[in-house]
Formats: sequence, C-alpha cells, structure tokens
Amino acid sequence: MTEGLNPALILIFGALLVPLLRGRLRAAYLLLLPVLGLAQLVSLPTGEQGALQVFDLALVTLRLDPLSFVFALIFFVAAGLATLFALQVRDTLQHVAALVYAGAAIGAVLAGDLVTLFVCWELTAVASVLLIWARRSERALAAGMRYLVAQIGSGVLLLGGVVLHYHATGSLAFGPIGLESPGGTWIFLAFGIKCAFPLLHNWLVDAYPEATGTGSVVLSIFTTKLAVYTLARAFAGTELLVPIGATMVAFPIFFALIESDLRRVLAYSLVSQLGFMVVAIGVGSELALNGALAHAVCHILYKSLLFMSMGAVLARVGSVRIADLGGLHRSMPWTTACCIVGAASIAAVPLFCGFVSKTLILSAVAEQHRWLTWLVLLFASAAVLHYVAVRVPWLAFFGEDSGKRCQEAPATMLWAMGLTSALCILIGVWPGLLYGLLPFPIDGSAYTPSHVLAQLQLLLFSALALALLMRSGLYPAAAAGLSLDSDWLYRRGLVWVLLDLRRRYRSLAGRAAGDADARGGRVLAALYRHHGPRGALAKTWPTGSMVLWVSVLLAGFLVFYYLQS
Amino acid sequence: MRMADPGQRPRTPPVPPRALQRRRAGNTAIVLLGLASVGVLGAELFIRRELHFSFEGWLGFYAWFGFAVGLALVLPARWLGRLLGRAEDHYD
Repeated sequence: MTEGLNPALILIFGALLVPLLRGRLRAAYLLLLPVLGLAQLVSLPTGEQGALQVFDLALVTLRLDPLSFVFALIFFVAAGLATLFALQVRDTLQHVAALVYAGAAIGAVLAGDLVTLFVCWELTAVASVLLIWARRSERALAAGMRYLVAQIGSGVLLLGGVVLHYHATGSLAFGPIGLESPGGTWIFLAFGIKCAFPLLHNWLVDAYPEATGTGSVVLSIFTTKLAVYTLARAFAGTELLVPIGATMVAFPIFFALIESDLRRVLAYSLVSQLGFMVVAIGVGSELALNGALAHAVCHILYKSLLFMSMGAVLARVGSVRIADLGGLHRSMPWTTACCIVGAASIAAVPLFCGFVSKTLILSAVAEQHRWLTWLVLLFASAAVLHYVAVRVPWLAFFGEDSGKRCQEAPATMLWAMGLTSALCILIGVWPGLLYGLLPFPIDGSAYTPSHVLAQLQLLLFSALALALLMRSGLYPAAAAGLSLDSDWLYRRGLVWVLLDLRRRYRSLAGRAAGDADARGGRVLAALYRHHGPRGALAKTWPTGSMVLWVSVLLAGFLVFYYLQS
Repeated sequence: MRMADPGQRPRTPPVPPRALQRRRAGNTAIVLLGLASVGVLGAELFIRRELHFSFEGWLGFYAWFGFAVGLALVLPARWLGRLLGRAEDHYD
C-alpha cells in the first residue's frame, strides 16, 4: 500500500465518490473501502508519521502504537460489517455519512497531536448527526439537534483545554495529560461528554434510538469507544474515573428495565458496559488497561450485533417497541439466533466474547482489593441478564405472540449479523486471538475452573430469580412511553426557566413601555400645548403685542446694562 | 370407511389451550434451570477457588449474590417505572 498514507483518509475521501456510483458497483466500492483501509493499517510500521507544519504548530497526524492499533483495527472491522449490514439501504446520505464518520473516528485514534484529534473529533460529530437526521422525522430532527449540541459542546471544551494545555506546556502531543495538567479538566470533561459520563449521558439514550436502523448500528460503534480510547491515552490511572465508571455501570440498569423501546434499552446497556471500561482505565494497571481494551473490542462486536438485530426488526416490522413485538422467531429465525449470540456475549456467558474481556476487568479490580467497586461490577454482571440478555431476545422474538408475520431480514443484513456472531464466538472460544493484540502480556487464562464456575453460578441463579419473578407476575412491566432521565433538566426544567425569564422580561418590558408611554404622552401634551394651534409659541400674535414685548425686552436690557455699568 | 361414534370418547386427548402449554413449558424450564443451578452450586465442592476477598469463600457466594440481585432489581424497577414513566409525547 501507499507508504505513510493515513488509512483514515481512504474512508473519508473515498466516501466522496460514493454518490457517483450506482448498483453493484457502488456496493462493491462500499465494501472495498474498509478492506483497503484495513490493509493500509496493517502495512504501516509502528511509530510516528504524517508530520505536518501548520503555522508554528508541529502536528503528527499518524501515530501507530499497540493502543491505537487495537482501536483502529476493530474500527475498520466494525466499519466493514456495518457497511455490509447497510448495503441494502437506498440512501446515499447514510452511506457517505457512515464512511466519513468511521474515517474521522479512525483519524482521531491515529492522531498523534491534540489539534488533529480536535479536527477529527468535530468531524465525527458532524458526520454522525446525519445518521440521525437521515430518518427524516420531526423527532429525529430534534434529537439530532440535541445530539449535535452535546457533541459540538464537547469539541469546544476540548479546544479550550488544548489551548490552555499548549499555552502552559508548549506541547501539542496527545499523550498522558492528567487532571492536574493545565487544561486537563477541560479535556477530561470533553472526553466525559462523549463517553456518556453520568448526567452527561443523555445525548446517547436520546439520539441512538431515533437514528435509522443502520445508523444506530454505526453510532454504537464509534463515538463512545473513541472516548474510551482518548481516556485510556490521556487519563489512565486517574482515580476519579473509578467512581464515575462504577456509577455508569449501575444506574442505567434500572432505566433499561423499565424502557419499552428496545433500542433505548440497548442504549442504556451501552452506558452500563462503558462503565466497565471507565473503571478499568481508572484502575490503570496493565491488566486493567488490557481489560478495558479487550472489553471495548468485544463490546463493539456484541453491541453492534444487538443493534443490527433490532435494525433488522425495524426494517421488517417498522417498530422496536415491546408492545409491537413478540413471537418473531417464527418469521426471523436467523435474526433471532444472532440476537441470542449478542445477548450471550453481553451476559458474559463462557465461550462468548464478553466473558473473556469482562473477566480481565473483574480480576484487575479484585487484584487491587477494591471490594466495593468489584461488588458493583458483579451486580451489573448479574443484572445484565435481566435487562438485556433475556429481555431483548425474549420480548422481541419470543414472549407473547404479536401475530406479526414478516420476511426474514435481507441477505446482506444476515451476512453482517452472521459474521459478527462468528467473531463473538471465535473470540470467546479462542481468547488468545484477542489477547495477542493487547499492549501488555497476559498471564493465565480467563477459562480457569474457578472463573467459569463463578460466572455460571452468577448467571444461572440470576436467571432462576428472573424466571420465578416472571412466573409470579412480579416482574416489572415496561413503561408505556418514555422514562424521565436527566434530560428532563434541559428539555423541561430549562424550558420552564427560559419561559419564566421571558414572562418576567415581557412583564418588565411592558411596564417600562407603559411608563415610557406615560412620560412620552406628557411630553407630547406639553409640546402640543406650547406648539399646537393654540400654543403660546406657535399662535399668530397681534403686531401690537409684539411691539409691547419687544419694548419690555429692550427696557429689561437697559436696566441690566445700567446696573452692570 | 368406519364412521366415528358421536357418543364415543375420541382416542387422541384434546390439545390443551396455548396458555396451558406455555405454563407447562414455563414450569419445565424453571425445573431445568433449578437443577442446573443446584448442579453448579454442588460443583463448588470439587473445584479449588481463586479468592481475592474473604467473602468470596462463603459457600455459594456467587449463586446467592446472583439470585439476590435478580430479586433486588424488581422493587426499585417497579417503583421507578411508576415514578419516571411518562407518555411518549411528554416532551412534544
């Protein structure tokens, strides 16, 4: 391949040709781009390349090391699978946006300096929002706008942090930054927004379910995992990340349990799984960082697989709301099977990919004897069976039969889901394939009898509790509509505050206008009195009166003149 | 061709209604799940455990933790559902 060419550019500039192509040629071209990018990535030597001088700024647009390689690799693989999944979509906008978005995310991962990171950061925001707006509904438009505000806000914070950091250190290198560094807090917050930290997470659960079927697959892959990468690069070992991550792990579980839109359930579970990675980055040991990276790779695979299965349901049934689904395994058996593989992976069932990555994180936390954090992670590991692993496949494909009969998903969707399922199982069965890519060597295996037994006990007894609860009718029913979350603060609370301010402003303005009217009226009346038709200064005076007044003025002048002299 | 006697009881038993079928299948699933759970709980006696915390050594710690989590999720979720559930057009 071309020496030194940034593989991200293959996707970004390659996407520009997509509108010119049609039919099979376009399909082949769309699939070829990720393959070419991947080949270019693999052919690159490790180290820094792509040096660029912009004014006084020395940029390194391409830096390849074990950390960036793992993320770039899985991004290319996932981009290829998502492209295959979206191949049947007849919407040029979505194809172009998805490729540019993937390319920008890969460009950010490979960026060696903070300016290149910022440019790619903003490009991901602009390209990805098109995947939400491509649904072309009012709700999608509004959700996309809120998403864009969050993403651009994150970019502004990043830029501010970069300026402060550069001003203080004179360096633009994208490496370990830390909270103590000048601008570090700004950059941390910018990464936190994209990583869906608690209270900053709403853009995700708001926007992802409103995207197109294929759009939500693509969105689930890049934005948050790019944030995980940047946190691992710049804030590894930051203690604050541990409580933040633990909170992220726990709180979305309860929301996911009561949601009725299955893509929103997946969005909440996405936040929870991100929490595992954030905790691991906060712990910061070699095993923990390996765990964070491994979990990011596995999470991209199984989460995109789950979103693909829901995308297929959306394409065939037109809805992913629980009330509209049930019994679809009769019509969509292959989609059902793939969804079950994704569910088993997220539940960390042994022989599926989630098990081999989650075990690393739990071991890393346990090694440092952080018992409370470990219990929170264990709680989420047991709960995931309830809110995703059983809930999504059961309610969509089994459960109460909705009576809907439809076609199986299109062939390209099935191929994409099948290949992603195969990767989930392959990594689960041969974890060495994944462990070999990680930056630090791993001693031992996830498949010790102790680990496997502990996980089986956890999952089977959790499943038993679930079965008994469902049997007894105590299991909570999904909320009919939506659930309030912290987005209430700006979608309703902030609106109230703004409306109240407007009301007060109008009241004040009205009063001020009234006062002004009254004063203005008095001025006008006085003017009218003096200058109107009957006013003393405007009426026609008789000549005699004028002579009289002139005589008075002259007499007055003479008196003053006499007194002065 | 022999005609069936209307007064005679049919040889094949009547097909139970779907709800009953589902109930029986659910019971079978719970029994199987219970047996598997007891099996993995018993296996603990034959496997050397790797412990990081003292409470991990309690008999069946992972089992009862998983079961307790399953039960403990229900009440807060039901309460949250009532507290936070809104109509789909709440923000419109």
